[in-house]
Amino acid sequence: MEATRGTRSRVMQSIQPLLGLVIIYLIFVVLSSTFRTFDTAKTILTQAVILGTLAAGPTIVLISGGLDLSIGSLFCLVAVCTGRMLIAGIPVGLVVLISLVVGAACGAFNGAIIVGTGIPAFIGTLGMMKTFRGLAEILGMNQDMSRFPESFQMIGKGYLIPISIMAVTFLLVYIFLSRTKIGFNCYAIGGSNEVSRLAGVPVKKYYIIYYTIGGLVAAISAIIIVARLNFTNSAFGVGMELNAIAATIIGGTSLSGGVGGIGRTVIGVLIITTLNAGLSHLGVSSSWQQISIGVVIILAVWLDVIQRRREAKA
Amino acid sequence: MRTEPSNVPLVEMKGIIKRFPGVLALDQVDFSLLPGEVHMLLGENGAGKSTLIKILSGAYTKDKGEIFVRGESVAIHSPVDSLQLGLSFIYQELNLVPQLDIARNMFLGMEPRALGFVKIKELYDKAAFYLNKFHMDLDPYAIVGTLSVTQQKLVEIARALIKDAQVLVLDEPTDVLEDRSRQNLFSVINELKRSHSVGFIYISHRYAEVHELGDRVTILRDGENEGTYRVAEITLDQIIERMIGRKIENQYPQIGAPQAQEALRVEDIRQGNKLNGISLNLRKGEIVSVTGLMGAGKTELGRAICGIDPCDAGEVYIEGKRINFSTPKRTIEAGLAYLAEDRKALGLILVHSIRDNFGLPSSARLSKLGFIDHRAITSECDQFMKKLDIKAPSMETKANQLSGGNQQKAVVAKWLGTQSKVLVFDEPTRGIDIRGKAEVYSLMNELLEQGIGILMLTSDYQEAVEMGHRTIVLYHGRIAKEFQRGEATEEDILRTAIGAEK
Repeated sequence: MEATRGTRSRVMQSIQPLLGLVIIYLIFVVLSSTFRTFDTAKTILTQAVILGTLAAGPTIVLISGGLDLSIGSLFCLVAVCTGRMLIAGIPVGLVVLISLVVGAACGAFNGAIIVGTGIPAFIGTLGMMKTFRGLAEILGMNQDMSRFPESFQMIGKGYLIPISIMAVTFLLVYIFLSRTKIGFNCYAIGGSNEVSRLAGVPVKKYYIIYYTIGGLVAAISAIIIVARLNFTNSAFGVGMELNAIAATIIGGTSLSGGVGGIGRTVIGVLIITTLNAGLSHLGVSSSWQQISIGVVIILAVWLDVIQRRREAKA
Repeated sequence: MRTEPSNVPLVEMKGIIKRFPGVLALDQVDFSLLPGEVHMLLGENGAGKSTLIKILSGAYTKDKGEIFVRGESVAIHSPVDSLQLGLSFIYQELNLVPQLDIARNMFLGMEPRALGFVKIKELYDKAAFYLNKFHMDLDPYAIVGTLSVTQQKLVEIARALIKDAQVLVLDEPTDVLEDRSRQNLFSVINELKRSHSVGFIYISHRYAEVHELGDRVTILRDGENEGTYRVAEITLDQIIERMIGRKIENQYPQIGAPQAQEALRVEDIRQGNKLNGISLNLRKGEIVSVTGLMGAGKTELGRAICGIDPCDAGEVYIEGKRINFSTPKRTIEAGLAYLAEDRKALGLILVHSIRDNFGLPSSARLSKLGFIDHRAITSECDQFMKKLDIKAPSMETKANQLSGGNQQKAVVAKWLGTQSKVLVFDEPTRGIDIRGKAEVYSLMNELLEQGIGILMLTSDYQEAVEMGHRTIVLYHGRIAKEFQRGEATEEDILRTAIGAEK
């Protein structure tokens, strides 16, 4: 009896965001005649690429009980590095590789600072958010970073390639979280890092790995956007970290750690992009779009809180 | 002599019954407190002392019975109710804001105000006035964090008294205190009961304090009141006898003889002033109980052996092989497992399933090239659930839906999954009802038969002597004495643990 209740509520928890997405989509389909086309759906997916790949990182970090405020700035730093290397004429393949390494290294540095000093993740990544932004500004100062080689622009062009990159990223993160030892232990560490430590999990080392992956994934996202827009500057990605965290939380990953998944983040990302696209089709200003996303964040987490309270009583 | 207390009790509890799932925590308990008396409340762990106090404070609600405060029947549903009735509770842990000074702590939440502004001068004047009135030699400007533990206790008492508390409940206040500080606290208590007719309910494990401080004593055993006496009418021996009583049920299994090979050897382990050079050994299939008072070093010893907390010196051998016990990961690989007392905080991740909890310490063993073998975890978990008879609808059931006994079994399963050779079991049956206890004991017996060595850290003396092939009693981080099975009674253990027997 109790078990069925538990299973049912667990299923409900992952279905709820999906249900929300479907309802939001249907509302726009009814309200806007221009919305209900295949092209719009494709556009939504393409718009989801940047936020989606970016949000894959915070999903892992949040499940492990951490928080990463620096990825917006990290994203920008990688974008500027990519731009500088491209205009310096470095071969595209090498540029992509180095950019990914820069992203991962910045992520690892985040993790190392938090683990090494013992300061809260909020503070550590807040500090790195400022630091990365400053570095990006120094590197990007008085640089015209645009008109990149055709072969690089391919990465972000059209629908197929960017969406495929996003899909592969999600798939890899999914496999990481569900199939690998380090990913499996991510949930345990988020549930209780002391229980995990007592169980022999090298908690500190793993934290660094989670932040490293967060940085790597943010770098992928940065490369796509630089390729797509065919320019970059040091103002990229301001506030993106909060959008990524918002998408993760709307999807149903817990801010307190131990619960969540990449599938949920996909849905969270789609909710945000569908909302933005739909409201644009209806001619709603971007200010009102922000307000509606704000409402959705609060609503989504509130529903989760209600559910957990009910579960605790049961 | 002492002033004659008035006749109306400050607190009277009649026929209190409290039932927890599977256990009768309090059975028809009567208790009263007169003005100007110190009433000692004694009993073994789990006897019902804290349940009784929590009912009085409103943290728990009673199932049956009546409570009278100053002769009037009252209903206490929450801590706010008890506070309004003039009851104050001072727990072992300190409840002060260490960054603030004494005066601000004393008046926290009830600062003298005018138009929403705190009247700073009045605050400190009042604090000084009260400290003087209560005969406490303290500076209102002193930052609480810089005070000694005794002084902090005094501040807590002062704070309670300015809220017009007439009843103060002190839960093991002297456990952490030195002898001189205790005298300081006692003299304040004596002064307050004489000049202010305050009544004290005093819980202590230091039985010597009964005759030093108490006026009356009430002894609880297994949720029943074993009697209330004037302290002059009862000796320490009689008190101990009544506390232990005669346990009826035989819940302990027949334990076979240990094997010859050594499972664990610990040599001269030291850690600050908590562990002062402890050596012990354990054979395969042997169970050794380690007991002592709270703070004697049981848990510290277990955690040190298992590499959870660093130590200053000492060596640990598993089956004759020296292990580097720097991290839990190493000791687990060597075959040691620490089963923490606090199953909810340290043993299980409550929001995760039995299966995921089971897989946690084994995930390193059950993965190849970094990929986890979910099928292996599932099948091993299934095996252990059957073997240990864990009662749950499925292995996907979350740990927080299990009963105490089944949670303990899940913890055992989790550690057996690591193929441990030695289990360090910290308070294996605390918080588990009688039937659950019997199951845990027979499970331990089965493990012994398989050749696993068990080091059981326990503060239940009966459990210690009944289960252990040997019982080691710690006192202040040292081995006070070691008893062979059948050599010691619970009473001998208790005497050794409190340092009454050298």
